[in-house]
Amino acid sequence: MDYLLEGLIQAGVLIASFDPGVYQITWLTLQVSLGATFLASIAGIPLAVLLVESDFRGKESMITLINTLMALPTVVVGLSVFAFLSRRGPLGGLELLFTPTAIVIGGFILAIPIVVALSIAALKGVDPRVRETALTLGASRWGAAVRVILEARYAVVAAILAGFARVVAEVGSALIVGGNIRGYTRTLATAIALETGKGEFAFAIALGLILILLSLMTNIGLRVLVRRP
Amino acid sequence: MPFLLKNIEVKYGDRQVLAIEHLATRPDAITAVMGPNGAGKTTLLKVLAGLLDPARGTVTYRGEHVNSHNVARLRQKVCLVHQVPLLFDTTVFENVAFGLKARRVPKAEIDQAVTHALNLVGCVDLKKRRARELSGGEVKRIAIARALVLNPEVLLLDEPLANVDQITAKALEEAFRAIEEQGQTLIFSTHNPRLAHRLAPEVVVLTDGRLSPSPYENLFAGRPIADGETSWFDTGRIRIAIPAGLSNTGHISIGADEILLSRLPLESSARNVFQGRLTRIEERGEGVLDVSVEAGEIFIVRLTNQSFHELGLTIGDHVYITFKSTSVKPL
Repeated sequence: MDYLLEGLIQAGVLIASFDPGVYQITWLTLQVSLGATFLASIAGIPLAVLLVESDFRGKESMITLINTLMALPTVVVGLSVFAFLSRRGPLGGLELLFTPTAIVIGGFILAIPIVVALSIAALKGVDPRVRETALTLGASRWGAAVRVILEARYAVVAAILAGFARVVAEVGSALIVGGNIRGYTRTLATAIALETGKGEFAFAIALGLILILLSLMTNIGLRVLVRRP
Repeated sequence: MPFLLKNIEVKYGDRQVLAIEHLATRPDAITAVMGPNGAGKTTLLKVLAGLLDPARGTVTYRGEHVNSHNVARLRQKVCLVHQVPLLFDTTVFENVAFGLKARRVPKAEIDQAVTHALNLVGCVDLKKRRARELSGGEVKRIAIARALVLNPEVLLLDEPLANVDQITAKALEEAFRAIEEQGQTLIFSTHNPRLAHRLAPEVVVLTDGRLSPSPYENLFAGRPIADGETSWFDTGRIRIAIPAGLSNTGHISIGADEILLSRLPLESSARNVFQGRLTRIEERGEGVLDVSVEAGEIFIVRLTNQSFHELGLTIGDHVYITFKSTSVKPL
């Protein structure tokens, strides 16, 4: 049990001493996770609005499919992105494999079904009078959609946070498409996997604590943002 | 004529909720849409507001056909207030300012207009409150201010006076008259026939989604006057004797089957006897006829086929109509 305590102490030391290696890993993790979540949100929330408002054949099947994609295994996503970005893949010419951008792409694919599915659930819960009222007061279709999103803002933020949580903590995709290159594509999650493999439990636990801290701060930040009227 | 509806049909699933062959609304008067719950009143208002696209038929607004391309323009001019209005989950100010912001009105003007509109409904001190903290009556008034601030050409109100206290109701009634005087068109729905006739010169009656004749027969507008011992109701053309207590009504109606038709004046205790001319005969089926008599005002008299033939009357004949003052009902 000593390594648990040791991990806690080491975490405190690492955080307090601004260890540059840890700092770099944390910063990269935050960047790729926020980037992927941001992209998934600006694409996913409008998509959810469209799906809720439109009426077409197969709409329910499509929503079921999106719900299923929430459980997409991260290694499968990593493998697919790898296949596309590798030298022999269709997007090989972009030379994105083993870059932070590749991790963002993987994270985006992992986050978007979550953002869309949970946003659909959030928007469906909004009183239909919100949209009607916005329209009759002269708002455009888009303006009315924004009002509907704002009415569901707490639930939509929860959807975004769920997407973020998926990306920030995942190993499979980041490891495969990022390559876990020290100082370049090593994220907190891949570093933890590596350190655990090396038997550096205390260091891994320290990184784990930092990861949880990161999530906590992101959550608090977003909550504060939506508390405005 | 702001609105002209032709062959409108609205369905929810397989159920037809609205079927209107022809409806033209008046520009210069308050129009009431009257009918029981589930008659299609809300659906009609939503069609007029451009919020509901009818399965069939055409809606014309000021000569322009409403379609999916220009419906947004209609919504800038016509505003609906729901029966149970919804305020957005923000401040009262932001709610009232919503439509102005959608129209990109400058900020300084918005502040002024919002304050003015809140003053109209007596809620200016609620400006900074959160909308979700308000009472039901306050919500209704804020919702009306939110529509009034836009100065819409047509204001549609769904059951505006349902579930409001008397003071609010009175304030709203006054507001409606002010809206009318400003030249805005007001169309409201109600299940209350008295209210409909009291506030609106034009009453559209809906039953099961279709236009139907008013349930009131021999409906006259005017004012009661006391003249010595007798109470009268002056329609502007004739004076009708009414029961004494009936002093505070702008509308009366007399059941068509409570009026007697005769060739000669009847000797009876009935206070109302008018001489007139028979102008129209209409079969109602089941051996019953409706006869129109022009006697200053036009009266509808209902009697059986048999009694009508025994009188031996034809169109143009001079006749007498007789009814008791207690047959006169106020609205």
